[in-house]
Amino acid sequence: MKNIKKLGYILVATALTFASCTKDLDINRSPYNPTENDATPELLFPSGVAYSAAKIGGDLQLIGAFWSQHYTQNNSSNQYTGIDSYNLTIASYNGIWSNLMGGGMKDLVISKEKASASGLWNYYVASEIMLAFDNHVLVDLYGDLPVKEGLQGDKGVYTPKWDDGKTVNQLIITQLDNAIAKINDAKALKSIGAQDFVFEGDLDNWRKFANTLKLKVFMRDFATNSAAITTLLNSNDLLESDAKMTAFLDAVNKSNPLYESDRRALNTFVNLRASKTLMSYLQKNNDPRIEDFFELTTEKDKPAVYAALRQGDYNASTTDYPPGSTSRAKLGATDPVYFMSYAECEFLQAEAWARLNNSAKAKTHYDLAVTEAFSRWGKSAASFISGGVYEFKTGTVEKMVEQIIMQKWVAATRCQAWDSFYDQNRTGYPVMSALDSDDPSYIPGQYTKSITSVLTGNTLPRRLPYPKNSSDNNANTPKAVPIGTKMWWHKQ
Amino acid sequence: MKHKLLSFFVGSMILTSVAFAQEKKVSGRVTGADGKPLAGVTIAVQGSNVATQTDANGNYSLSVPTGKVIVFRSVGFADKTLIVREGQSAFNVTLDNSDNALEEVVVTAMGVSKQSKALGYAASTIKAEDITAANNMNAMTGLQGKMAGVSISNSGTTGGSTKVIIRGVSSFTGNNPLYVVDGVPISNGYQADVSFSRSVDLGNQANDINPDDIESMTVLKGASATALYGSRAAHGVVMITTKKGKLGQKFEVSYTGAINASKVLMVPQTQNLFGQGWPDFSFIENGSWGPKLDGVTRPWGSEVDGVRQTKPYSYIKDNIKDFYVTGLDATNVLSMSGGGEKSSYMFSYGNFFQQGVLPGHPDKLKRNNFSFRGNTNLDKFTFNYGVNYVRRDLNAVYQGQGTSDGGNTTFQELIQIPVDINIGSLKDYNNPYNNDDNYFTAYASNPYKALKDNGSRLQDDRFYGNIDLSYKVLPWLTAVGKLGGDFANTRTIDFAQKITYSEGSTSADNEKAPVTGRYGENYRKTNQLDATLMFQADKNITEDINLSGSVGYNFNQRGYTYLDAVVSGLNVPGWYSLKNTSEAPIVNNVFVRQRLMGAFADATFSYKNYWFVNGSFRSDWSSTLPVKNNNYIYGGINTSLIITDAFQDLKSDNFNYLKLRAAWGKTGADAGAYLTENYYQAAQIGLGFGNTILPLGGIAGLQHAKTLGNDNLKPEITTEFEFGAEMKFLKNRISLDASYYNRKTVDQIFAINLSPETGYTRRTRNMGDIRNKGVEIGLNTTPLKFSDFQWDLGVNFTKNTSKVMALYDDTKETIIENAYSVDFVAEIGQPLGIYKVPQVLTVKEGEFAGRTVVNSAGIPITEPNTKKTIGKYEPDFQMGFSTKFRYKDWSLGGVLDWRKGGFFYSYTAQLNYFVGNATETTFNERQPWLVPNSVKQLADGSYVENDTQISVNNQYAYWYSNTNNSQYEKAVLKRDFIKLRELVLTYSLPKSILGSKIKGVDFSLVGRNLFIWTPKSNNFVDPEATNYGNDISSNFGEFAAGPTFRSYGGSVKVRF
Repeated sequence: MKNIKKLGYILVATALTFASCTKDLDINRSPYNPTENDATPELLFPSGVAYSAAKIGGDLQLIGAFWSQHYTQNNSSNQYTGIDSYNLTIASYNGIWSNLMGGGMKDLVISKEKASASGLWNYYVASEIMLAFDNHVLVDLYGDLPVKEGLQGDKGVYTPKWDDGKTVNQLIITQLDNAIAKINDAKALKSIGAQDFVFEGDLDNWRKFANTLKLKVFMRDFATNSAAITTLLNSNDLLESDAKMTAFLDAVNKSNPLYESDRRALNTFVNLRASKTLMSYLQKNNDPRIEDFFELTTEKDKPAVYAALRQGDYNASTTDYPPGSTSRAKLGATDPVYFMSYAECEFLQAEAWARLNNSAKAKTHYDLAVTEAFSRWGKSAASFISGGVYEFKTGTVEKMVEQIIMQKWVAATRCQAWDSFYDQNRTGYPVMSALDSDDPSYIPGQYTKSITSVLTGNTLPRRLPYPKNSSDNNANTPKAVPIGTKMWWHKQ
Repeated sequence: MKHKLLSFFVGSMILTSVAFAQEKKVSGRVTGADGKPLAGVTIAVQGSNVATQTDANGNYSLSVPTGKVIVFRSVGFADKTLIVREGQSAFNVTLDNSDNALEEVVVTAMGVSKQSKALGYAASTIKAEDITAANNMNAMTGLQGKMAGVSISNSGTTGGSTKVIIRGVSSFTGNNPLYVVDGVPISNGYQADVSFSRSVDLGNQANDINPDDIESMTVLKGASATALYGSRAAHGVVMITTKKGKLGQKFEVSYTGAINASKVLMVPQTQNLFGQGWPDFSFIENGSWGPKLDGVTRPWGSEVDGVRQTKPYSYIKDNIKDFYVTGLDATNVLSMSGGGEKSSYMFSYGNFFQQGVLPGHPDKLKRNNFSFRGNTNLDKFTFNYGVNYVRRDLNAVYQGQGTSDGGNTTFQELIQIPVDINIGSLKDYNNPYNNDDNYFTAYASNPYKALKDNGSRLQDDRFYGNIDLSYKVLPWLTAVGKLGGDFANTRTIDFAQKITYSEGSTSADNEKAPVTGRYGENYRKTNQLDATLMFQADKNITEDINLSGSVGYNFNQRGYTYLDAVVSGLNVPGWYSLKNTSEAPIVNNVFVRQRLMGAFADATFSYKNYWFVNGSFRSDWSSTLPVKNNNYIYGGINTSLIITDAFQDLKSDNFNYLKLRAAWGKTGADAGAYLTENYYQAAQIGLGFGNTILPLGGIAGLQHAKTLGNDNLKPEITTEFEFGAEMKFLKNRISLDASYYNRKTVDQIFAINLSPETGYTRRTRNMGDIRNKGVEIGLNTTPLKFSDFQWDLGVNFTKNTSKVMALYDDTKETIIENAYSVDFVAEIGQPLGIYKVPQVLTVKEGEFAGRTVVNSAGIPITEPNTKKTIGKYEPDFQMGFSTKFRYKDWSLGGVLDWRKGGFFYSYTAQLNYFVGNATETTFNERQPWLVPNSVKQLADGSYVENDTQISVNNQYAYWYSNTNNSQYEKAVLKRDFIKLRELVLTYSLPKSILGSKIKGVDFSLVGRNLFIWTPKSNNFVDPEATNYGNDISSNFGEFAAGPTFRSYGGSVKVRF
């Protein structure tokens, strides 16, 4: 019996030892992971911008370049056939959605919230404007966007409702006004400096960027917003430099996102070829930028020339088009990612003035825009705009808009191809040709039906389908809409 | 307080020791079935090293603690086991010639030995000789086809992992069992790169065990059996008991040497009608979409100095098969054991060498195992220990698709060679026609060179071992302390050659992408500590009633740290160093630690030794669960009734034994480390291909982790009931063991997908309800038995059916794995893991309803948003057949493994269709044909009869899944196979030749996986090959995985 008692002591002693172990169990966090305190706006904001650059300058630039008929898929490889034939499903390119919404945009939100809490208004302003810009890019791509309820998974909102496109545009304007209102507070602080990949902390530029973005968003509904547009045009407070990220290096994981993906990481780097649509236009007009957009052919024992493949003609046999017989798209490891270029800002103003039927101001801004689009590549536009092939001709509003958008389309090459895709949706320029680009009557620069298009007739893609990674997990995601369906702000 | 507690503890130890009873002296006589005394029978105390032998008259005596099991063992006779009870001292025993004794003893949870008949659940035990019969280099492979309810697969590659799945996949995360060696859990870490692009399998740690060290292995399958292990045993426990020296045993040496040659088992069958081209003949194509083979000698390949080589344009037979060479594996195991009066010991050294079937042998495994185990008995103290050191060196090659910095992988490159090009002729990759510059195609690389250019190396030093101290507190009560440790230091490197092309070369002219090269190093330390303190009791309450049980406490800590650095893009080719870069290497450091504490109790009631009831209980505290609710309780109850003992009248010569059993149990699994909180990490952004990684231009970035943590996690819970029966007939010539189980796994801890508009892409939570129901049948028979000849035949049958009952919220399906457009899905109402592929677009309504819509090329259009289900991965059933013929000193055994039903994804098949090497691509001799029952859509949306034939030039576009998405179906193959796992012929030298010094010499001829049969539609790959890891995803299939092989050889076993 005595032994039993002693045994009891042992058990009690053991039990007490275990009870003291609770602290030993509170070890469930990695010592190497940064905590909430470590994650300051100084570290989150650069990530948010880099994410935006990676997707907008990467996937979107790629899709935009195909759908703007700058590039087409090479015939002896097949990486991007889905884009070129408009054969994209709800599962295609979901990375845009997961990396912006589920990535950098949330970083920008956290950056903004933390900046607001600690009075870092410089970070607040920049984060909010960058966020508004991402919202703008996405709503134009998908049509609707969950802005009001989105980006709050950490607060338990797992199935946010989507907002329709018009509402989103209003929300973007509110966001931008909200940011602009804090600029003066922000200016009182030390500059963000190099942490700001876009403007190195220059808050005046952020304000101009915000204003230009407002103008761009208003242009989606010109008739309704013409007063606000006029105010902006007269404000003298629009971009005079590029809103772009330039921090790329010629090194693994550090280069321009499209270059990194297409030229470095993919195990074949010949997919992107000149589309006959753009190339024929450049050649017809002897545009010197051809050498900045495309490489010379490399076919053995043949002269090196500029040559293109018809849009979507990737099934062409390698006997007809041997490797190297068409021009590859020229990309640079250190190419900047343009969020909004100065040229775009001038084109926007030109178009706005044209729509206000002020042809003189339209011409002024058109000339500035084309000049900038040439000088970006170290070239002079003078001979082209003064008496040359690109000279602005006064005419009907539509005629003026067409000239402006055609040049904007060329300027968007290797710059903002995605924006050119939006412009074609919005304005209908370049116009769609009924002819094949090999047809003698084909007018260079007009869009052609992709040879391998899976869409009926001459339908062009107008949007990306609502992503599967959203619709699979959120019952509020809108019902699928075919890729060729126009949005409310598109030219009907 | 602490001081006081300690003194209590010590005090009680001293006091109690005084009152202890002595051990029981047990004696008796052992006879054979014929009544004659048997000399030289070993009598050993189970779980200790106490042993003796019978003298010439069959008499023995030894001291045995009560409650212990003693085993009588002699060559040519079946083991017999008894449990020594209080008040019993004389045991006269008769040994039966062969048929298995009824009193089999099984090691159960926490290392407790129990009579087999006392178990109310299924437990399968396999003996040493069956594990090592076919010269297996790792223990689990030796079980293939031999055990019902246990599915064992090898990844295929040399040194690759072994996957063990017990009673079906039930979890979205870990499904491998817990491995316990001599009562202490060991680590079963798995090291690999699992990805479609550049994958390598560097093996799992359970494979480190020297199979020759194993005395027996018991697999505990059900929740009731494993409840004592609580949070770690949801997927079964593999209990390994190692060989030990015996007290009083003379010094004994045994040596086993084995050598095997191996050959590739299965390679894709290629079509033999069409040669290089796409669709016209082309010198640089990587496919066989060209003209008909005509045998005419023509130039081929690249021009070097203006000259091309010539060869006949004809089919090369066995082209891929002949690429592979003969592999080799060799095993040398030496063990020495002995024992004195108080102590015994065993030392073993195992040397394992394997080189695979790849030319030049870039796949190679070297393993050296040193083990020392011993035992000391001092009065009431028993001290057991074992220490093991394993050194493993593995050279492995990459599988999968290849990357721009890692270059191409051999297996993918092999598939992309036209059927008229002799692969063997490419072997000399320094030859100007075969080198990087001038390899015939710009779209693929020389498979021989890829073997040399990129690979992975692993060096692992691992110590593991256990110390067991038991102390007899009372005659019926023992205190046991166990301490286990498992520590490994691993270095892995990963290298890939930088490749550039000379100006003017074929590769340069055809715009082949250079390989930037890479080098990575990873230093990893893994550790596990496991301590158990428990009391074991065994007491006869009355003559008929015995109570036994244990109560204890377990502490377990596991973790790993690693430091990883990689440079992508080498400056100088061939110099593999982190310094060979113009950029800083990408570095990462990781520290993971988790703790688990548990209190447990277990009790068994037995009545008249024919009715048993066992209950077990465990309470766990886990560090990986939220602190506020980190405590959970598991338990199990089971019972067994020996009908033939309870009702002796039922027993006859024809009907020898009937046991019924029933069990219910609950086990669980805690979370992985660090899932409860949100955190941040360095910014790394995935691009279409490659990444953007901050810092950029000196500016660093942090991003929120994309997976939301969850501070309300609960453990994953598995509840299971099972029923079973064991029967023996015809003087034990037929024995049958059947089980039915039904298990339910709920609250799985899984990072579910979130819609990214939440700002996150995943959220860790409890979800899911997976049911697994199944039947396991083991049938062992001895159809023929004469004095010199015996034929044994065994069949085991396993059928597991899984069903997804619930996922989470309103979610109907979730993707487990995916490649291209083939999804591997968990869908409610379906078995876990079904394949979904794109399907053709059909007209929804109107006069053409149901007909296939084709595009302008006559090729079916894909339904954009819905996929069709092909079927499940899980076999309908699996059966193992084993047979053994014994004639005098000869024996011949074989094991056949049959898995029926199920599907798997094969990138190898997909790629064979793409390049036109698949046999089916010769359909209609590649002449134009019309898709049956098809229509085309006009611009106005209406449909008309399709009259567009698929042209000669579009044949490839029809078969290629990228241009005809519905062809992804062709990449999902039937998983069925039959493999002849083992064929072993053994000759044992008769005792008359051996004399007294040598105890035994066996010679064996061995074949493994000699033969595989697959359905006609799978003429591509062995369904067991995978490079998707060794858990749930590995069931998905393969992505240009390396081949499996057959092997044959011989072994010799000598005992002195």
